[in-house]
Amino acid sequence: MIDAITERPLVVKNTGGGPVLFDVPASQLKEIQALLDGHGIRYSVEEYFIAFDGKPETTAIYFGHAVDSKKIQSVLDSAG
Amino acid sequence: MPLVDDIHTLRDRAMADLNAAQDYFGHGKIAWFVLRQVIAARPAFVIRNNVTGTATNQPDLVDKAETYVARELTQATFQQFISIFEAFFFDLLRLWLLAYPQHLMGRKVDFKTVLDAPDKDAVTLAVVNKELNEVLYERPADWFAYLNDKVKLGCPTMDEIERIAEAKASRDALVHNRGVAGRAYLLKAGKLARHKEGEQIDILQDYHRQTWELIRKVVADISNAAIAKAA
Repeated sequence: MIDAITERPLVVKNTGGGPVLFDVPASQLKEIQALLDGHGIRYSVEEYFIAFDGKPETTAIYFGHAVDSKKIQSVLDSAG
Repeated sequence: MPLVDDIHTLRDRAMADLNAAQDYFGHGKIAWFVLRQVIAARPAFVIRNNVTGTATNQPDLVDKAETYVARELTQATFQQFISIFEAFFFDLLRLWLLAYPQHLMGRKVDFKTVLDAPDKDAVTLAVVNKELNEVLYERPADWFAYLNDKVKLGCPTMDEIERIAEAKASRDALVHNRGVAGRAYLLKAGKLARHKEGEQIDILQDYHRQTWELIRKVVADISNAAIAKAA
């Protein structure tokens, strides 16, 4: 899936707290949630939305250790 | 009514502490989110900690910022929620037992405790503290059973007790088992266990928030019921 702000693919990061999708454009959140729900991937959306330098709001999606980051990335990539 | 006033104070303090921990969590995350963006736009730098010897450059700090948001802040504040609840719960029991020490009529006291105590209140406090220290090491379900045995409050619900037990089990695994769900976690968490043995304990945002809300509700319910009984 292409990030509507940067126009680059959304990339899942591995952190000490499990995989996280940072800098998710708020405008794409529902679409991403529908995609993850459709694949039965459990996640938790960041409660804060931040807009830097007047750019559109972004947030983060957390997955926890139980979800494989490669699977998440593959699901996102499959959305084009 | 000193007992009623004391319970009011205890409840308000626990609520304020829970709010402060939740605010710290939010502000901490925002600070790291902002810093993460700022770092990316800065010239290259290296920070050296003269105490630990750790050197951190830009990419390192970005990675750490992400883990601090996804794990450290979440786990630390989650543990704080549980600590605040434990302190509240046992402080409330202490207040109640000091006000109604006849609940402990059958307890035996070392003669040394009596000799060392300046007055009867000090003996009572020693007996109450010894009693509560023993209850503390029981399971949360037993804590609430003990509370109900001393003062029938009619709360929290069984579902809330089980959720608190699972949260406490998660906290114990984070503190005592390097964040891994062991047999102790499964035993303590019971049917609400969120992990299988050997899995890493996750504290995701929604679970973090739900636990905070649960503890706030239970603190309010127990306090208000105790105030009504004491009044």
